Amino acid sequence: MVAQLESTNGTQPELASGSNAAFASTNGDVNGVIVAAGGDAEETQKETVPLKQLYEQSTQYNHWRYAQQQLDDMRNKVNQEVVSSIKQNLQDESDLRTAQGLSLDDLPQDLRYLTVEDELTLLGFYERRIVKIFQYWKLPSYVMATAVVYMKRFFLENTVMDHHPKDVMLTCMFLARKTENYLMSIEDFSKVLKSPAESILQLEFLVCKTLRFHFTVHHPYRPCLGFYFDMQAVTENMSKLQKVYERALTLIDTALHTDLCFLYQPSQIALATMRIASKDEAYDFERYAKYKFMSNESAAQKYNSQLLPILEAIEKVLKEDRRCVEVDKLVATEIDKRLKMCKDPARNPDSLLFMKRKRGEVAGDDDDDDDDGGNPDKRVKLGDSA
Amino acid sequence: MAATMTMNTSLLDDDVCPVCQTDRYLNPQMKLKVGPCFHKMCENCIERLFAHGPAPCPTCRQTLRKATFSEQTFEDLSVEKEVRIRKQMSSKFNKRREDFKSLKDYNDYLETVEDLTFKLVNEIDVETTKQAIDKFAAENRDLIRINADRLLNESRMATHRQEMLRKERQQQREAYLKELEAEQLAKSEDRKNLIQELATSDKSAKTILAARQAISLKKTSMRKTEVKPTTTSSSGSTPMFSDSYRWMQQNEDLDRRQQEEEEDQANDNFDPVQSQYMDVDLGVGYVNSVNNNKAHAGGLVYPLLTSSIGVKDLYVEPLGVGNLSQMAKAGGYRNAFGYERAIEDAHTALYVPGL
Repeated sequence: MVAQLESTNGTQPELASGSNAAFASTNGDVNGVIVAAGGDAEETQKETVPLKQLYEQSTQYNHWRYAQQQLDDMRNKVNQEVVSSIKQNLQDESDLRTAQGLSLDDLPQDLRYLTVEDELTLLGFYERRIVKIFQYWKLPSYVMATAVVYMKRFFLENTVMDHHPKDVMLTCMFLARKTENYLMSIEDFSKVLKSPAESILQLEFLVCKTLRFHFTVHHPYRPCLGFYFDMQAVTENMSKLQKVYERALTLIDTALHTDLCFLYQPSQIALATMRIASKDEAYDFERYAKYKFMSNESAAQKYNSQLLPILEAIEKVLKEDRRCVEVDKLVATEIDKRLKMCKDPARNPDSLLFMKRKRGEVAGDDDDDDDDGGNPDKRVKLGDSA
Repeated sequence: MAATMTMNTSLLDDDVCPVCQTDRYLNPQMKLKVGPCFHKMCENCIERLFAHGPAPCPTCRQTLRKATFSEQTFEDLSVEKEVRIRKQMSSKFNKRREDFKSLKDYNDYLETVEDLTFKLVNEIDVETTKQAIDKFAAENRDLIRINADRLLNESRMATHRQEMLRKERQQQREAYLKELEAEQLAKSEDRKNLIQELATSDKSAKTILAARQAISLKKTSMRKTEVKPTTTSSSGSTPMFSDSYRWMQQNEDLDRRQQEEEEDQANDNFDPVQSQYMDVDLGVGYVNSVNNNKAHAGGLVYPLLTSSIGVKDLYVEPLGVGNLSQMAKAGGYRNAFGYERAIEDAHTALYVPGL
């Protein structure tokens, strides 16, 4: 089982190796045995091959789990790369202009580039826009959640300075409606959202590629329902449990805007929200915890050492993370204004730099300008995509 | 065959030879052929240009010969080109799964082959690609030859098998026809004898007929018991050929034994209902279902509550969830499926530590 995991985790071997031993032993504590159906006594010895865990085959488990530190590092790295590339391009642009004797007036000076904080705030604003639009459509909450998760995953490897979150938001919504089986045609979509279809379709392939085509996302909604059913064994007051469940669902919706989907498993998030909701609604969660997780000494020890710290960590995040709170529209507009100023000259079709690059491309000379982190226009060759 | 026919009919109308500009009106039998540089020409032009040996292609100036022109099988020239390249590649890159230790190695090999093919088709780094291919061919010459032989053997065996089957069927048919004939003959014989007896003997007609009937009944019952052994004996006629094809039989037996071994192993472990994955440990309150020892109820698994606190048979759905529609129920869907799925999801990966 260990070997199997390492081959599927080819992209992130350092993550897999550490935790392999941990859950090889925790879950079930038993190795599956392949039973010989009607085996004869003389037949060769059947080997004990451990069965695999199903959740370990999911792409969310294998490719989209990070530690908080890793998330911060990734975002910082992308941000700094883009900032330095924009600085470089601006320098090139101003050089070109001085060479041709043109004015430098309309080039932005002393730019306040967006920090990672600003980016996250802006993204939070647009994520909540997604939520609002999906509420209008009255689709199940997991479709909305999928769109939000797509956007979060996309902006782990890109910054808002490269692709404006508004366009990415629309594309993620369109894509999520497709993957979660609530397809809306592009014509209807662009009509309802009053946005041109080409920009959405142009970004679609890039978004798919950044998501590494891992379209299935697992959300805490169904596990939450599962716990709701499970808790009925120890509940007499069903209406209170109902309130706890509803409160837990709203908590899951807020958790969607934090990084919890990358840090913990959906079932853990669901249990944590039920625990918090029980506190809010004065429901006795401890009784359920005792019944379920602490039926004997070893189980209690396992719960206290492994599960409880996770639940408490999730609770801490939900209490303290800024993104659990709605973003003020004024703040978002201000960041957006600064974003417009940070426009990369290499993308502006009127700039000299863009034209120079384009001529270089057409002439076919080798582009050794990889120091700018890859000219964004060359990064994706869409070919003759639809 | 059908493909070329449909292709020809669709290309009939607007075909013009790019060299001499004749179209089908001027030359009704015009046929365009494709050269190695994938430029088309009608047969007259080919005749004219290459009658005295190699000459440059009028479109791209590559030296060509008359022999290198062939019929076009695909309407799209790029497909034609790709197919030709792939055919050449497959003659060199014919390694099989058995030649590799692990699935990953085999997949890596396939990927490198695809890479090279892609480069050739799209004319990227043609020189380096050709060198890499030649290098590979030189290194693996023996293996390539073995695999090519294997392929040849297999195709020979396949045709041989088909032949055998055909012959067998023919024999069976002949045997059946013979039997039918024999039966008919016997019947007519019987009737002749009956008439003879009736005409010549002294006994009454009734006794003669009764005696006949008794005999005929015995004969049919005997024939029925005979029929079964004869069918098995007809298939036994194939060993007659095994002597001359012993080399093939040996190979076939070897392969078959290998296959049977593998099948046995797979069959012993294979249970179509059993999941390949470990069951989710549902913990307290459920029949311990780890390792697929679930309580099966016609293939369904109902979560069984064993708690003494508030034993319930069904779960109460949250408010706002309606009942199942008639259509869903008629289709076989039950609430229990939803409960089971939700509860399993709730317990999946519950103890997985964060990174």
